[in-house]
Amino acid sequence: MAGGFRRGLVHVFGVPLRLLDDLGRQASFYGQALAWTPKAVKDYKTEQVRLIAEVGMSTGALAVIGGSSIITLFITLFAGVTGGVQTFDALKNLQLEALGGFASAIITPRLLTPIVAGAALAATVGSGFTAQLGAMRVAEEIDALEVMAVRSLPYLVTTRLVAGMITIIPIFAMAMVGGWIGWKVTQVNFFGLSEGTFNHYMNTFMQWQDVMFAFAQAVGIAIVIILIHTYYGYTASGGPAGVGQAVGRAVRTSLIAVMTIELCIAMALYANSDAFRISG
Amino acid sequence: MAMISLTRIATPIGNFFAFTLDTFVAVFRRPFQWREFIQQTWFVASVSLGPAILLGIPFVALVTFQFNLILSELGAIDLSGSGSGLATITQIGPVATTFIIAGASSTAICADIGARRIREELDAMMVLGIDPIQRLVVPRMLATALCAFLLNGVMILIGLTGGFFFAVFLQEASPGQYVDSMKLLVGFADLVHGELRAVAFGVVGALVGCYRGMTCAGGPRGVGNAVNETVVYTFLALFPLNILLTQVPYSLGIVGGNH
Repeated sequence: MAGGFRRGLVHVFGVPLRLLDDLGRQASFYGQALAWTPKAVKDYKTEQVRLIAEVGMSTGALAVIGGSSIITLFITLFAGVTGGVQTFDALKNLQLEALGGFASAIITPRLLTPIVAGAALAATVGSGFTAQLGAMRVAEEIDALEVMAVRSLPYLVTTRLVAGMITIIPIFAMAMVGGWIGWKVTQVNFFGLSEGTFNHYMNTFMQWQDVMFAFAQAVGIAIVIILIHTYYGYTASGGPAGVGQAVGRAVRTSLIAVMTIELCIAMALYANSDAFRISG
Repeated sequence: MAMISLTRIATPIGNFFAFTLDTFVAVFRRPFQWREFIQQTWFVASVSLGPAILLGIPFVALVTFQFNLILSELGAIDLSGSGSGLATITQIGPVATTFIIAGASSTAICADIGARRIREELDAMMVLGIDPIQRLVVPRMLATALCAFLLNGVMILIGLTGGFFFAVFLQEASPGQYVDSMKLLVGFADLVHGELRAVAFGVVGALVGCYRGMTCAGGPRGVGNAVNETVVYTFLALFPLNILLTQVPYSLGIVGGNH
């Protein structure tokens, strides 16, 4: 009786402690992965180049439909069309549909691309890494690497981190262009907004600073997604079913982390910026 | 070469539609699996609710923050309620529900069904004369649809309250004006429109998860890849679907334009 009570108590108070334990393990994993960057860049050049190609193009079934870059472009294109449809209707209620280009210039770099492309990258690049590393862990390939005196962390994790950070910029640029094209095609070609009006408001309110800030968010997103996804893959357990669960858990965590990190970066960059001037 | 890659794309898509048709037929076959339905609703809700709340708060804060920057530049910060209401009910709620359905619900469903597939439980069911589509897929599809409906409600609630706190306490909008202007651009029809879209997203997400789980290859790479592809395909399916379901009611004049 007393034993059962104590076990119950240990269980109840153990939950936050285990959570803390897990957080600590993640933090030390992330710290190590980042600290190995010079070694990974210097020693594993071939693997690095292979991974850069893989991040952009993906492998397996996803490569058939164009790889992560095309998938991200496709998704932001459709998100741009949605934005075009929705803002056109809202602005029409206020008799302001001429301002469609203004909405596109502001919303695409500040909200649409970071949120949608961030989620698309977590889904394509990130969960692909979890599946790969999880399969390697379960098939004991990672242990085999260690036995052969190859440090698995820089060889598998840090190389992926560097590859992700290099590849995200072109992917993100494509995604942003996709968002603009979707938006413009919808409002100009489908809803008959005059192209000159659209371009005028778009060019007036488009700021290179917003685009730069979006890329700052992109690099933050890349680091967070790849660290989280490689962690869950690297520590997967429980056979093939465990790999599937690890991928699911990694996607859930990284979607939350992507939104949080974007909010933090956006607040840090935009909060006191006075580059946005309408009233002079 | 091009032919081969075309078949590689077209065959799974065709199979998926056949699978969807089978599922819709099986919905009406009795007996309905109530126990599985309730368990799955609980399961989907338990994997989705936490991520939904944690994802919803920064998502909404991000949008409200940017929108309010523009409004305060125009000196119209008191209108922030209308922007918050419009953005949350028409797009943020359904899109955030999309993220949760793709990222949390359908991945969990795919991992579960995939594990059953590689342990040959599905084959065992078929040998026993039990149809896995009726027994496993139909309850999961309906459970996810129900959860998507409820999750969209949670998202809207988070959106409106989060937007309120962000606008009033951090960006100095007036609370009364916020609440008052909330109804300026959206109405009841938009709410129903958003909820119906969320239900459609739930159905599609669950179907993709179940299909990819039931067709996953063996070995440790098989289930992992299946879950990875589930997230990607769900995103790929839901964004175009969102446009279709957003635009069609506007074109038909069911929602919008009546404020």
